[in-house]
Amino acid sequence: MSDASAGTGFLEHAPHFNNAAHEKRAAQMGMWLFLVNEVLLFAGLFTAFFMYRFLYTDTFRFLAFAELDWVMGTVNTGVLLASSFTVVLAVQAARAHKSKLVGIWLLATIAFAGAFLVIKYFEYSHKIHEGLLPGQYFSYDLSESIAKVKADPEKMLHINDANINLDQVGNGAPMFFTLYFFITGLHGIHVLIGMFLLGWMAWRAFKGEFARKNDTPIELSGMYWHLVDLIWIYVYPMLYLL
Amino acid sequence: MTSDTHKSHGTGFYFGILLALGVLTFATFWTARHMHTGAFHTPLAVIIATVKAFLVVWFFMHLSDHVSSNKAFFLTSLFFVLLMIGLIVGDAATRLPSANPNFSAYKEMRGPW
Amino acid sequence: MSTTHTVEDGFPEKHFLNQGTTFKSWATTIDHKRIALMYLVTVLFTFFLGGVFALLLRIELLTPGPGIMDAQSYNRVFSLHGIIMVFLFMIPALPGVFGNFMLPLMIGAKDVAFPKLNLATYYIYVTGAAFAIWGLWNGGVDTGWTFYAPYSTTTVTKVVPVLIGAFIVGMSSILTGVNFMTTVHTLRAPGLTWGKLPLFVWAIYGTAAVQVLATPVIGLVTLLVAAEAGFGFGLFDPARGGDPLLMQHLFWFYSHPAVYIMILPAMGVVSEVIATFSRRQVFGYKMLAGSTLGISLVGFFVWGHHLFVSGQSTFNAGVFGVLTMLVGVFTAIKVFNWVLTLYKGAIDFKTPFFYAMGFLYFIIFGGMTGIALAVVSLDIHWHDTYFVIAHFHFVMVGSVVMGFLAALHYWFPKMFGKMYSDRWGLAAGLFVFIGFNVTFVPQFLLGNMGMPRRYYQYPEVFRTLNVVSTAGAGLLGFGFFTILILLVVALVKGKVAGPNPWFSKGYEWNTSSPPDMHNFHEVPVLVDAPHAYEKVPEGTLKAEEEAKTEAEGAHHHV
Repeated sequence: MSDASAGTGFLEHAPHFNNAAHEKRAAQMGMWLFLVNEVLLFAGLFTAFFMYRFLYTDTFRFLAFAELDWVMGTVNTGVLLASSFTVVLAVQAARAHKSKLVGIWLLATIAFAGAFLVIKYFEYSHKIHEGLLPGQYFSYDLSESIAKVKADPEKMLHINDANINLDQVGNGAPMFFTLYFFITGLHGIHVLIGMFLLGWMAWRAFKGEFARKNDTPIELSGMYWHLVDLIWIYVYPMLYLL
Repeated sequence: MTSDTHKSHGTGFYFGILLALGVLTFATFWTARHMHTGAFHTPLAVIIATVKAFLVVWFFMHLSDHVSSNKAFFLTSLFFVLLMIGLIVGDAATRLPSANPNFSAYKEMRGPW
Repeated sequence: MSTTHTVEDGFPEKHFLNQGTTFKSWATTIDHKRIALMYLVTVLFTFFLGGVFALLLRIELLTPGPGIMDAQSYNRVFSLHGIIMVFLFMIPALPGVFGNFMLPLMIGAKDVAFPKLNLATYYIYVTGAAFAIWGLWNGGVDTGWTFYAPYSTTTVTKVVPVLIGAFIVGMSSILTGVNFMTTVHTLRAPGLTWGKLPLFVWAIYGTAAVQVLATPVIGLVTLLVAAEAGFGFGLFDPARGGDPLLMQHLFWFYSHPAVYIMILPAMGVVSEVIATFSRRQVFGYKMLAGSTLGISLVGFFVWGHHLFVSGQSTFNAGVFGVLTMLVGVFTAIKVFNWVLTLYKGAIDFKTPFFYAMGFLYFIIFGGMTGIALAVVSLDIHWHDTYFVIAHFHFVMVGSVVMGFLAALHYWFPKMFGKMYSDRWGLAAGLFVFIGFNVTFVPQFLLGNMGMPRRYYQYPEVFRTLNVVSTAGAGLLGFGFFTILILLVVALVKGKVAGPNPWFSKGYEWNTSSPPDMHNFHEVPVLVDAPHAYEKVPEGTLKAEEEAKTEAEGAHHHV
């Protein structure tokens, strides 16, 4: 197929893979390598978080306990896990050449992603309202919050069990929220990118593009989406629970 | 070994994995907030998260079917994450205390370093 | 070498340069060879730009006091010199030009794994370069290329465009790494096992691994510093409880492996050139391949040696100091193996070989000064002095640029089908070599005497050495110009090179010069290892003479 005149059309090239399976293996490998790069991207933020958590332990743990909403965090975790599941179903449908079903499962995934972002929006607006903002914009009165916790015996049970020294709480609070917004923000951007990517795939699915043996784009997009879920699996305990 | 030899797990199997993930999420929350795990709750949370991550990577992302190079790539990335966090947080932990930010813990501590 | 296809002798009628001559056929090409040439044109431009800034610096440093610019401008000039050289030349050049051109040829593939992505990496690189140059136009930055916080987050100069440029160029680097790693894994021709891979391919593979793993970290750092500069969150600001060292840690976590992105391909080129021009496969192939991977890996464990005097813990300093020396072991292994290859080789002293020898010289001395710097107690004296500058210019300009020039001169006939004048090639190389030494050897002395780096003024006692250094820089620049002219002349009216002017047994020579757009007409089967030369090397002067004598003898005896 090496036609001497071929190769002058737009992005045209002679196939250099032996067969479709060969090409798919290469595509999967390329995607894994890209995901390795994404993991390292977040690693830097995780490092910053753990470093400042080490330096401001009591403040970080107090804020995670008292100021972050564990309900929203846990629900969001469940939402992303469910979205991972629907993406698996989309890939399954693609392997079965059921293009419309692919589209349906992808829409479900996007819906879950949207729910995630909506919950995030509520979390963010609460924080902005309270003044729990990064760096110089932090304007929350921590002493009030500490007093409230001191007055609640159930909460003090956890404080004492976790060895949080309430007298040390204070400095490092703006840093906590800098990291909170950076980590969840960067993750949120990846959720948005994922939504667009899956949306584009869904559009192609409803056009019938996956009715023949063509599951690689779905599989690769799915892999990207699973990474978004994967990052959150670590972010959730890191920010909300520790 | 090509990835076309993927064993076709049924929908039920993946739903089972989802349930397992849900249980583990609940376990993360429970051990962090309701059990008296003390200082151990941090490593425990990381361990549970890693088990969840393994389930997602191995089954949802089909790494079990992929060529071993892909498995090696992913493991390598985890190694480098640990390296980064370990040596950098380790720096803060072993520094001359006055080199740490003001009002941080360990500012006043006198250590062997 | 057993291949199943014929290679056109002389200058082929149809080749990748004339198969499609419209602007569109170049702008939308996904031929790795064309993309390589596009990278070549761009990196030559950025190298020139970075070089201009370097010359301006050296001119300023002719006089102890103010010269041709004020202090603030001086800060901007050295910052831009560093940024352009590191991000716009050193990181993209060898992988982008020679990795792209040679990798598929060397493994018997028709292209890289993801050709469209390959084209995208070029345009992404150009976009990043445009941002950086726009930043330059806006007055540049005065932070140094290392843009340490909190200065970079509070300076009046506009850092954000340049940071965005660096982020975008980083993306190009990552995607190139993804592409090349996948290519090596999945597109090797039948018969080409890992144990027979050309050493340049091993080098590209090691480089690609580093590109994928390390570059995202600098991406993150540019984002964080840009956000800090814009909003002042206090992530690295001591006044707000932040730690400036965190930024340095994260910065160098990438930037140290980055220097291995720069040097590894050059080392691969040297292996190829030494093999060809000694007419033997390199001594210790496995050691060379293994040490390539060793450098890729251990290069990640040493970043703290940039933080010895910044306030890092002594525990970390000890760890990083020892690990830095370990990296030196791998380089030493390579040097020993290269030298042993020369021993009992049939040396053909051509221009590429000259550059490979230059590389050896620079990696030995540059590398050893690196090991010296790894000793914490010595680094306390040398940190932020000209000693460090001389060290990294020895390895980066001396070694990497020598490697780049070796590649350029070695593969020029393959890429363009023409041959340059070897005499002028050697002469220009000599200008570069001498010019380089005259520029940077005085800087070791200056640094040891205590002259700090990035300083606009210096005491009178340092004047002589600075003048010598500037003179060397002039000669160095002249040398580069000579190379440019000689190669352009060769392009226009050089002799036809033919498919294999060096009589090399590297795999890439098994194509016409220039190669066909699709590289091979039939997929080669690569059974023999590369550089498997016979005992009496064919094609060398000695063998030709012997053959001639034999033929004459045969005539007489008829």
